[in-house]
Amino acid sequence: MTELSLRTRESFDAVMRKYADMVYRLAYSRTGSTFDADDILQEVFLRYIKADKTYNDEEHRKAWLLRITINCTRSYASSAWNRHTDYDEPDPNIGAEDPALKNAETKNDVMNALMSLPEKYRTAIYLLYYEDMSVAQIAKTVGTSETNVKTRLSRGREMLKEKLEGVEFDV
Amino acid sequence: MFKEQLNMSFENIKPSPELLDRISAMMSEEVSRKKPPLQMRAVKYAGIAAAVALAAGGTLLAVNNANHGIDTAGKGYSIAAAAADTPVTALPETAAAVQAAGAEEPAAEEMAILQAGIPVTEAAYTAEEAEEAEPEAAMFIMAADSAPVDENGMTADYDAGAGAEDNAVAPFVAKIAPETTSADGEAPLFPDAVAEAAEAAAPPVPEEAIMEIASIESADAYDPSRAAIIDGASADYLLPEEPVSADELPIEEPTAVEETAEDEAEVFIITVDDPTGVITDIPKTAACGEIFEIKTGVVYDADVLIYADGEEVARTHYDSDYWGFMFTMPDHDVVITVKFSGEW
Repeated sequence: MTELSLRTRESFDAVMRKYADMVYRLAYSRTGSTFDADDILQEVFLRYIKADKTYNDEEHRKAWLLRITINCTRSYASSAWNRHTDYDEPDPNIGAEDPALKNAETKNDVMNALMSLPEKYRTAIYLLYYEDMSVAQIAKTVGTSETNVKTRLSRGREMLKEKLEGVEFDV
Repeated sequence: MFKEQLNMSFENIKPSPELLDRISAMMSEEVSRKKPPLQMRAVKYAGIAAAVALAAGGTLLAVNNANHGIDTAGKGYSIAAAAADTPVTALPETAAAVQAAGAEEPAAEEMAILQAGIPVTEAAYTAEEAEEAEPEAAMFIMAADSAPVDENGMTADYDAGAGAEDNAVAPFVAKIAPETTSADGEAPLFPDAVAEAAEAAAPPVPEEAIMEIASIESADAYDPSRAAIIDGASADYLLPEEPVSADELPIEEPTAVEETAEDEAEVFIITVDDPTGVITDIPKTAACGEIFEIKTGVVYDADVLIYADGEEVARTHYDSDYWGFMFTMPDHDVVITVKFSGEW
């Protein structure tokens, strides 16, 4: 077993920069807000540095970070400030807050279609197709059963097919 | 095809460099704010404790010598002597060393650590290690290491009363003196006046210091018999608190969300299989249709799932304080199982 516990500032910084995009994109895919993703990104790496865990390998570290990101978005969603937002419902204002992103997103039907899915389907689809995770890994990360994940993927695909004509799924 | 499109669409979603720099700075600050490991802090405490014991230590060694010979460290009566790994040295020099090191008024935290009784093995370090972590502490240890020792492990010129005359160690002496007897086991070695004056000068132990003790792993090895060296009147608040495990979280009264069962409804038994993490007091029986919320602590490293007879209970509440699962009592006895998914 390789011990990869990081104890120097340089190492923490390197890990943060390596996984920042991954954490940020997952946070964005779940919240639909770059501002929320900013906050969650900070929170995740604050927890990372406080935990100061020893990881078996990079996969373990990656899985841990994804897991913490999901938990952070849950906590963030249930915080007093954000209780007014229902993360299970598609946010009609997604992409409207950041002009740069808005331009990118309006050109991108796939992104819009994905972000319009309910959060649980969106997360499953994102983790499968973007993070290349297996159903078992998704189940572990999200904290549900593999059957549930398969159901979410199936329903998510169906919804995407309705929104994206002619879309083909590899899996 | 979908995968490629998705990858392309998310390429633009990334944190700004400014944000990364800010997080980097925040992480650096957090790292520098982190306390040094317990072992390194123990060196500091042990060093200061060594100085105190060296000054007041004639008392300790007199007791230990009378009862157990020079096996002071082995018996764990004085972590200070154990840290120094050597018997007491000459007192006048030590008292001067205490003052020179600025230890006129021992911090409450240090005092609490001393009295919590850190096991010898955790407190004993070499002078080199101590010097790296705490030069002042190392000075005491090195001084003790170099002390001449006779065949009994004692230095020739210790004076049992000398430590009490030193204001720097008076608070510690006050805690030790009432329970410390001379070699014949009868008369206290220190006059009451000295003990009272020293006790009055002793700073109160703040709650933070007591909590610090509770968080120390070594507190598990606390030996109640060591309370004998602590002032009896104040021993209670100095005792380390029991470490709180996940299953000892505060128990809340069950929250009856809705009462749908009729008064005469049949009551069924609820069996809880391993209630780890549950902070709700789950009732042992409930009527069919009764609904209540099962609360668990928030676990960031894993996910909590609750099953009733193997069927997953829906989580209805996410919060930073707790997670809630709404459970409806079926018309039969039920076994509730709490599971943590994933080993993170």
